[in-house]
Amino acid sequence: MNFKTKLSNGIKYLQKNKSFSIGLGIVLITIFIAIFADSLTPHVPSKLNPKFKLLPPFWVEGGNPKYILGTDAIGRDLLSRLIKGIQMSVGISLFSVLSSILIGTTIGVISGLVHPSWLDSVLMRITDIQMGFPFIVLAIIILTMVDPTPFSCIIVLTLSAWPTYARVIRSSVMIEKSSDYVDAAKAMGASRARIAIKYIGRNLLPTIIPVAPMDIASVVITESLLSFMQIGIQPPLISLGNIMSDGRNYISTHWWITAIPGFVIMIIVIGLNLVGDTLQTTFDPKLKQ
Amino acid sequence: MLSTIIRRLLQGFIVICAITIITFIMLRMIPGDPSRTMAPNATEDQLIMLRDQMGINEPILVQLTKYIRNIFQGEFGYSFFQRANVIKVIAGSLNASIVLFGFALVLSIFFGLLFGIIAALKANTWIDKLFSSIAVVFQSMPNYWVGTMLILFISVKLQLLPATGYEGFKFSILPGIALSLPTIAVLMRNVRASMISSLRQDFVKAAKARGIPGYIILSRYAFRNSLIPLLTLLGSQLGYMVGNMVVCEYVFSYPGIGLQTLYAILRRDYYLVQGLVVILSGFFIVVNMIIDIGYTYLDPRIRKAQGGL
Amino acid sequence: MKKLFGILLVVLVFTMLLVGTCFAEKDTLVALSAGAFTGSWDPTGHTILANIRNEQIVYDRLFEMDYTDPDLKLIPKLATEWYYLDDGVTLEVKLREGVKFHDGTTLDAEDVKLTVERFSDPTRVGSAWWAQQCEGEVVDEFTVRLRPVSGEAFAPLVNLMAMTPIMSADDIKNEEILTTDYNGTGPYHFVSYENEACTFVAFDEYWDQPNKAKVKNLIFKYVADPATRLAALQTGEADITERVDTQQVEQIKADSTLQLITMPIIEQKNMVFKVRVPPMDNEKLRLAIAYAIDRETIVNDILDGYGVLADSFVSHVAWGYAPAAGFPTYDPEKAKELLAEAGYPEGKGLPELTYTTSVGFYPKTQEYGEYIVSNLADIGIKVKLVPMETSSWEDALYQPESAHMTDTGWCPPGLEPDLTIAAFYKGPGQVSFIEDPELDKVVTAEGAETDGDKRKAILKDSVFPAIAAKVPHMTLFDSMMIYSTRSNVKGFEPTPSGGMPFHKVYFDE
Repeated sequence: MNFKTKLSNGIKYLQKNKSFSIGLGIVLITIFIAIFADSLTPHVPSKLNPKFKLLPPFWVEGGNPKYILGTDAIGRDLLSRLIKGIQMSVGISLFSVLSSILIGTTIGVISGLVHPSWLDSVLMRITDIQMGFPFIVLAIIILTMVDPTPFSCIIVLTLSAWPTYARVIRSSVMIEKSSDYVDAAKAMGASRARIAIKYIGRNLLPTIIPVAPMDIASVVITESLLSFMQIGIQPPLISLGNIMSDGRNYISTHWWITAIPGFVIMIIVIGLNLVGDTLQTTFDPKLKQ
Repeated sequence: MLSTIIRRLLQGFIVICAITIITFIMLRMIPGDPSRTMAPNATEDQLIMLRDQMGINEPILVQLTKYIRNIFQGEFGYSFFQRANVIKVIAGSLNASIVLFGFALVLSIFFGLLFGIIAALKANTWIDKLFSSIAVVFQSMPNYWVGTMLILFISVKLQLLPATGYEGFKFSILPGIALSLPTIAVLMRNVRASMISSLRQDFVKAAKARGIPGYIILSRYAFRNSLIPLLTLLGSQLGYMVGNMVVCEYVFSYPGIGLQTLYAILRRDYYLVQGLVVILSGFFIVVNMIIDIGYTYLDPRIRKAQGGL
Repeated sequence: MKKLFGILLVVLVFTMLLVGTCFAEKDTLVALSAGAFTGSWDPTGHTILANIRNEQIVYDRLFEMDYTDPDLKLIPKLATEWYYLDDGVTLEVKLREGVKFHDGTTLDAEDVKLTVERFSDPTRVGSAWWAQQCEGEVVDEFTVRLRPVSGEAFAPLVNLMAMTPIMSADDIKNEEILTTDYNGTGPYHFVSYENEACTFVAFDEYWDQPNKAKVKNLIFKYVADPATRLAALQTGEADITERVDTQQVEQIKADSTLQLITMPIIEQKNMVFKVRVPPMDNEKLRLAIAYAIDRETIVNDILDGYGVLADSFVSHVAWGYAPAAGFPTYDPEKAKELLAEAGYPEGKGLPELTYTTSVGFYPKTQEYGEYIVSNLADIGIKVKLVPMETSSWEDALYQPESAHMTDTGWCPPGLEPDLTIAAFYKGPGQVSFIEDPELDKVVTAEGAETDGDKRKAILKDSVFPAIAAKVPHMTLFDSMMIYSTRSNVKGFEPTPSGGMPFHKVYFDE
């Protein structure tokens, strides 16, 4: 298959799967914004200008075309803050999910492979402790214990997400392990490590890939929640959550400060969910037509 | 089976002990302590006296040993800021949380199943598309934001339901709705997916061919088959719901254990935090244990895997 | 399945319809507090405003300041007469007869004696307000003498007694009651504290019948989030709320069911320099920073005018307030000169300074914090703003070396200036940890002058200018407390010291 046919197949696929193309579009735009945030902001996001405070978006009466989405309570440009906020929120979410996949997979594979053994029990108890610890309590404690920097937020969010991966991967390793072809390979004298890499490793990707976008989506929400409750990212750093929490006091007179970031979060999360959905259907043979 | 349950209970107990100890140590590593919150501008000498009264002046390990010894005597300590026994404080707010959580759970399961089944039966029609889109939107809205909007429109503008506090069931309705929306969405999507796949299975087709009425196929074959994944999913959702409950209670100023937890940590109300963490994690662990046992019992593949490589 | 769904729907709709029916006859006042209650029910065991407000309605004081009077003259309450004896040090007080505590005992001289001794006991947290330990002497059942243990004159004593809740001697002897219950002579008596809410009932046998509580039940409840507090007010779940956010003001003005009450209060917001941390020991550097802050913009634009530009080191509502000579004003050029004099021309050689501030407690701290950072950058000073969660910030606040500068507010429970002056500027001053012989000297002199007019003159002519020359604290503005009530709430007159006298409140039918 040459590149052209591949491309045209791809386009055909996108045309057929509208929700996937919409989702992919949103995700790509988000990534673009996140990468080029610094050159996209029309104003300096932290520049305050009390003379132009609480301007509405330009299409609302009283809006100023220089500030497309209006300004906040101390006259900072909302569009610029939103762009930086997207960068922060998406960046944090992405890194958190990547690191939880890394940790979760490692622990899950090890634990699943060595299954009935003390190591598996220890790892699973650690996972249980982590899962049993009410996340929000852990988050509040950790984020008041250390400075709430982006790095510590990533740590906290990673802590919340890795056990799920560890458990899912462990059980899928266990299922694969007991499946016939692995039994057969074993009968043919393949070593444990070889089985692990060749048969099980290949089957793990389908477990992780469809879950990852949805997980990023839920981490985006969790991150914004932490900032919203004023325990996550702190000003002068900007995240979508703290723009919303700033705006919450003005909600019935200046709705846009809260509504627009909320809407942006929703769109990003929808995009990720649509992509995740399609991936899930693609990777789950049971759901295929 | 019984030995599995006992083993899991024992494991759960160990996990709770570990969580208790970790919380204990972490709490004391946070800067600030309850004496300071109580009397910000007191002198160092006065603070030492206050800490003595509170019993938090000794080395952490001594305090921890004392705390654990007290627990075995049924003493969970005293809340510095609620001036009452921790058990009493938690009991006072547990009721509100149970109502809220229960209501949200009922809403989630009911509407999750209902919409999921409808969407599956009408798969790929406009109804399915509508429901699925709504689910995506529900799942994508931060629930503190939903809460804020509900307060703005339902309570403030329309004056239909109260926005804050808890004095009866009507106070749980809005936070309950805000809490249940994402779970409804997740359940609906999963019920839909597993129903669709069950409906395509051979035994369902065969049943159809044999002329068994639609509703029986639905309830006896397809639905029952979708329950296992649903059960697992619910387990993980409960964890999220507990987290979200804290936020909902904060937004609605709903006096449940979530709000207590938040306030208690922020004020460094050590023993109250300990008690709340035990309750919250205990709930989560027990639920997951039940689901785990059920899951192991129901899925033959896992049972086989227990046999080992 | 359909049936179940139907039933649930009906139940849902029905509850929604039921709700919103009006409340029964109004005999309960619900007020919201932005600050939490502490577990210390002993008035001498904490310094928390929410609890002090409780004490203001449960207890009475010997006399109270008349806030409507420009001279803040004192109104008799539990005392009928008070005067200094000839030694100029001992205060003699004649008590009102027949005043009953909530537990039925009668007020007498011993109650006052023990209250003062407990409050000013340096090992008690409540003594934070008492620069000197005091003792009492029972002359007869209704006459008591109060004097500082040191025997030196203690001018703030009268003003302190205007804010000190008189407790019962029996309770003081039996701490069990004192620390778990309120027993005062005030218009409300305490019922319970559950789920962050304190409940009170009007005290029928209140000694001052014309001033007895007008609404039978009172619930005073902690709600942390300003948006939630306002929502509760808008839905009628609460009648009064404090600390309305300035951005909510528009909304309240537009709502005919609500009214807005603004009140300049004793609280000042300060930029405090931790003088033990070099280079903050450099007076010129502190002054340079003080001159570089554009406080007009902070007050007018960031706070929307809900604050009063400070020109002294006590709030303009304080007893003895006078504008401080030499108080720094916004002048970037002068700031640059001072910075050069300090040895850091254009900020050269100056390390990055840390500036801590709290989150979610005082209004707009982060917003104006960021603005101050930009002001200081304009004259070449690099500052890092460190917003902190409230309890961590509070802990750092009282530690001498936790930052270079910190934002803080100070809201003493009375208008006595020494609650601020002696606490902050007499070495080692709170928060800044300043130790300066000259400041010590003027503050001590002011505290020893029992003649009111002379004392005011000392404050104006030597104390305030001395502080202005050293600025261990740069005062940013005097706070304005914004309250909102339902429009049927009448008679709510908050005090400039943050008090909320609920017993005067009534509902308009």
